[in-house]
Amino acid sequence: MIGVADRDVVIGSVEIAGIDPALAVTLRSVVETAPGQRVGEAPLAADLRRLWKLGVVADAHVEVAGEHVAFVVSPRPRVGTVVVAHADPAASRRFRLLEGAPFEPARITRIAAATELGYIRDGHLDAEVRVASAPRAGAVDVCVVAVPGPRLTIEAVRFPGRSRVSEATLLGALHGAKGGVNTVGGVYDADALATDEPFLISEYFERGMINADIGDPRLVRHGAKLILEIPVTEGPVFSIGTVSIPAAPGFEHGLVRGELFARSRLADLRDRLQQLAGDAFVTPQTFIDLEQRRVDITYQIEWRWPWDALRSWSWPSR
Amino acid sequence: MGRVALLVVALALTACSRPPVFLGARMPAGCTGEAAGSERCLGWMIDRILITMSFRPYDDARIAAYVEQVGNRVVRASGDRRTWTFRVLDSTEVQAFAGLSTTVYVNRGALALLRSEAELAAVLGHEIGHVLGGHLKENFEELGKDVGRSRLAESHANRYARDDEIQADEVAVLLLAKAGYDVRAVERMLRAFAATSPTDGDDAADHHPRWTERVARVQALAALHPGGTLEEQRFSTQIASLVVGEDPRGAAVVGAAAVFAHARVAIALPAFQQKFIEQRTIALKVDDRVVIDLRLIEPAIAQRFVAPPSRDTAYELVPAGRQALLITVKGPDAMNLARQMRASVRRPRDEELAQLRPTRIDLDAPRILWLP
Repeated sequence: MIGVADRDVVIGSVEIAGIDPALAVTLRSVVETAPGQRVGEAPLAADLRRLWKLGVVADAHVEVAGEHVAFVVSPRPRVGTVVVAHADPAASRRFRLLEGAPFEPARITRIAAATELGYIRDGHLDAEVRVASAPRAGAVDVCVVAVPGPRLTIEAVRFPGRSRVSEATLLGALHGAKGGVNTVGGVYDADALATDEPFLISEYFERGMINADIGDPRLVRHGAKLILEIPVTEGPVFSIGTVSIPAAPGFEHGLVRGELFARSRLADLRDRLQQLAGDAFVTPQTFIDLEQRRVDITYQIEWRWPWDALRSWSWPSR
Repeated sequence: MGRVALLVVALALTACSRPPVFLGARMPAGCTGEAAGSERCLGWMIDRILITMSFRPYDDARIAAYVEQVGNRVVRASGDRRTWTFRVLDSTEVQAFAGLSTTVYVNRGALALLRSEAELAAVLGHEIGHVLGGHLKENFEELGKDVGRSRLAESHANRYARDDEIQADEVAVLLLAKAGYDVRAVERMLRAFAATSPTDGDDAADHHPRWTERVARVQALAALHPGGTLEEQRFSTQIASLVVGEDPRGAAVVGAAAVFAHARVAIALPAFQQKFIEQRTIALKVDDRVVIDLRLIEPAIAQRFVAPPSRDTAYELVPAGRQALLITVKGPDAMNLARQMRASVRRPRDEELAQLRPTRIDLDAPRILWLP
């Protein structure tokens, strides 16, 4: 970009060249190179990146002539004709609106990706949106071909490995049934299903299966129908072991040793303690005994000095 | 684009199975059964929700007609043959947004920032661009699914939303050029709007690109479309009656009375300690125990506001032109006070109306334009 010999040159003036004057003023505002600075490759490269990031230039380079630094930029060509094949009317309109706009390959690729994602989320799991471009005098023609493929709907949702939790319970933990997503008769949405994994796990935690695991979903295709399999490893059922609250040993916590471990009961107790403890930190700590399949729980209460510490004197157990 | 429309979609979607009367108005022809879920019908319902529950159309027929006229000129340039609605809303917020179907909203607070018809066309053109590009349709469909999204998916969605904003700006430039306007008005409109924003930060959660990027992109495209007119004179003539800031005719306290001049209703007030006035609402703190809330609402949604009366809360609903004045009193003996207030409802007096002088737009006043 610049020679080693240029590095001791103190910049006298900076210019944006090769582009509309009004735009040049805006581009100048993002360039940090200024008169009085020494010419340096790294700052100039950073400025080129800033110019590039605005999305309006097709090419940019720096020319240093004595004390004068010029960022020479080329405007993007315009999008000429846009031909769209096989896309739905809404997607076609979006691409055709690009006619006359600056040709920005990365943005067109993103619009294609967004369109493809729209198809996939509508059940066209094999959808592809391909873009090609061809320059002609002063413009670039764009051709978009959408291949949505068949719309696949879910015939059944299965949970291989499930035995202790009902299928209806697990189906109830999946969101999107009303919107026709990840449900029988609806479409498969991998991202939505991934965000539902904690809800599925939660159903197992509620029933003592604290080592339960949800595997990667599998799709079995039968023509335009899908069987969605969500593998489950349930693991053993754990019970409650000892429950201690060192800060309030006499507190009536209501959890009984030997009872089924249920996440919500632990959370309830934490909430009750938190209510009493005000701003103090209430943290349940669990100690898992894999052999005995038992969970010992200690609720730590960390008082905030000095105000909340005074509360400890008024606790029910003291 | 405003996000308020997103808040109402759930209401609109659940309304699909209702009878063909929605919020006091008959549904458009063909909006029954499954067809009620179509873009056109949902768009109508969302518009109905917005103008009855969230916003009030700005009460100036001349300005409304002018905005409609400019909007339709821009739409014609796009070649779209659908019927479009352009609404001016009585809000001081600098905001414009598009509904699900072919309805575009612009607040009077946004109009007050503009200085030419071409700039108004730029605002409307941007929102028309969102509609033509189908940008909002996808958001509504996604909301209707009621599913969670990973952070990666949200990040992609945000990037796509920024591309939508870029496209809407580009469409504004291209439509203004086709409609014969000076396309540099898009840049000036952006600069005027940007001047009301506190920062131009690179906020990853913001659906809009940075102002610098938007202005640069618009300038790059505008350089290819010289010519066109700004129509400053016509704009200043048509917009001259625009009220800026809060409009005291919406709601005001004059002496010992609350005056809702637009609705042609006034009501006697007890002595109070504090007052809060916003658009069509007056809230009063009478003392430590008694609070009064007076607000104009659409009769069609009155029941949504009125909870069953209790010992310390009383409601009275009084017709006020095409609207209704809801009197809510909270405190001991609320029922008696509410009844007394209802009995005092009358038309505003001339001397009261004379005191309500709204501030009109001063188009010669200097305007701040954001500079990168």
